[in-house]
Amino acid sequence: MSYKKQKTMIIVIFLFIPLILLATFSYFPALRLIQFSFTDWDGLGGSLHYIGFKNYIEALTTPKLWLTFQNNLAYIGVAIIQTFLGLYLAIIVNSKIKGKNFFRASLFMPYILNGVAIAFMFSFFYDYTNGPINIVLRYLTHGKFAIRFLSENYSTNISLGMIGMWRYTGGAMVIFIGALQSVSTDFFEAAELDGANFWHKVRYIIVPNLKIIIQLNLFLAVNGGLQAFFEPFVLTKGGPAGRTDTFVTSTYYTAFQFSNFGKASSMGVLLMIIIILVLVIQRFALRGRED
Amino acid sequence: MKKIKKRNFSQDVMGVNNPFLRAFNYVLLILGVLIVFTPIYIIFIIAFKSNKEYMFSGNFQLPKSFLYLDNFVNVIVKGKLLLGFQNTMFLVVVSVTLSIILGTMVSYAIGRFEFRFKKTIITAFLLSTVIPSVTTQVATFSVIKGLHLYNTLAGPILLYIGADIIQIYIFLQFISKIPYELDESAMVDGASYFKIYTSIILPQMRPAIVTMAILKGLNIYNDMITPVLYMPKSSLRTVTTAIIAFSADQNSQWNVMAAGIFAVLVPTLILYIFAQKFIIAGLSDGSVKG
Repeated sequence: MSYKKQKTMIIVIFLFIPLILLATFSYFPALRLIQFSFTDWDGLGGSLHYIGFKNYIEALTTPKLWLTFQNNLAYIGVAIIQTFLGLYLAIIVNSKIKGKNFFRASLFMPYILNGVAIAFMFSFFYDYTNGPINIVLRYLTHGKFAIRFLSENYSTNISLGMIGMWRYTGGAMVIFIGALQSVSTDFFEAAELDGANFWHKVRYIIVPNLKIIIQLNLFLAVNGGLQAFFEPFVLTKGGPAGRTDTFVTSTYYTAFQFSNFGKASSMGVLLMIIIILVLVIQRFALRGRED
Repeated sequence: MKKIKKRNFSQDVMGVNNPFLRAFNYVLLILGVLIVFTPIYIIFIIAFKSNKEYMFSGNFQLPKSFLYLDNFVNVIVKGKLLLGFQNTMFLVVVSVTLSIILGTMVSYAIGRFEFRFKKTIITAFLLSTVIPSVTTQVATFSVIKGLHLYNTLAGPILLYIGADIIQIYIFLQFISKIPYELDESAMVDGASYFKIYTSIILPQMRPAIVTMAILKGLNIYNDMITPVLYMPKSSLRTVTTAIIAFSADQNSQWNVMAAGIFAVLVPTLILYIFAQKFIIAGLSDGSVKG
């Protein structure tokens, strides 16, 4: 067979299945989601009725939606702190420090652990009466002080967000270490000659050189916070009374518990629009500052 | 983009001379390590305590014996954890193999040939990352049901092997570094393109394949949403859904639960000890260049 014919065959055969999968499980669901969002479909195979923007209006006018967004803010806040903590840890692990391989490997380790198991581990640590954290706190304060980590207050969202912080700070650190290592040593040597101290180097070398990767990580943090789902789904089921529902858990319950696929789809579309908006704003801000 | 040679990890550039700052940095790192290890350590020690022993000795004392394995037996028998491991292993092995085969195929076709619509296809792959999969889950669910793959192992496998952009990206990077002369000399010997793919490209890509296989395997092992949504049947439990079901069955008997948590963590902890370098390299390469 000629190489020309072979080339055509390779291209067609090698790309066929991946493109089919991409169409079936990425683009088609996205289009279906938009379609469903204008219907009253119950997800059970009943017939579809187009009802215009009713789902969107309903989703946007219930106060519930705004409450869930407030809960998401806790996750976004924690994720932003976690990004900067990861950056600082990367900087010091990358400096002259003993046992840097040990610190890098240990701090990164939670990243590879099973999230559900970790969520259960934290629900034990957060336990009011028997949890190790409160036992230590009571011991230190002679029984006067303990924290209700998982209560009906807003702070429960922060407790849940902190589980993500435990899991992902090391991941952010490893990404920043990789980026730091591709910053040329010349900069640091020149700075050294000019008598720059630690903070000067952070401010005038690291931050400008890592600007893009920092912004990317901040975008991922905001994005992750908007899509927060895991911890409330496993530990609180969004309760009590929806006080720990995030946007995605309430979408999930709308679809799979209340069989309102139409409304859940409209919420999915809304979240997609918000995420794309965040991406566009971030791109725009990045370009604006480049000049 | 400028190509800058990567520095050695052990080289010092920050030159922290201030003793207070140095001390603060060490304290911060040690505190970080303690925060990482203490919870896992406590889970580990209470997993070996009987209900009575747990009630009286609390969380911090070492167990009387590390040979008390009733909690683990409990998790395996009542929690059907072995079934979970079996299903998860099946998903991991099949999905990782298929996804590596498809990923290297795509990268070979795109990385080595010029053709019409190549740009369009690359854009199609890239653009799909903008669609957050969590939001489209409701519609994906209807697709899986429509294909009669609900409550089968095949459904999640298809979802796992679908385009993985980071993987394709890393493979493309790797292929571009394999000298084209290797392909050419094989062609002089009359090797077909398919033969070049299997006998030159694949062996050369081994390091990238190992890294991506480990990362993909970890993702599948740790995944919750796919098995929860698409395989709720109890005979199709994975490690993750087994531990969720187990926790629902028992009322905060934390020593028993700790055994379950620890059993789920152990396989990846062991993998991490041996494959740490690959995992860290995979993560930092994928994101820095990406």
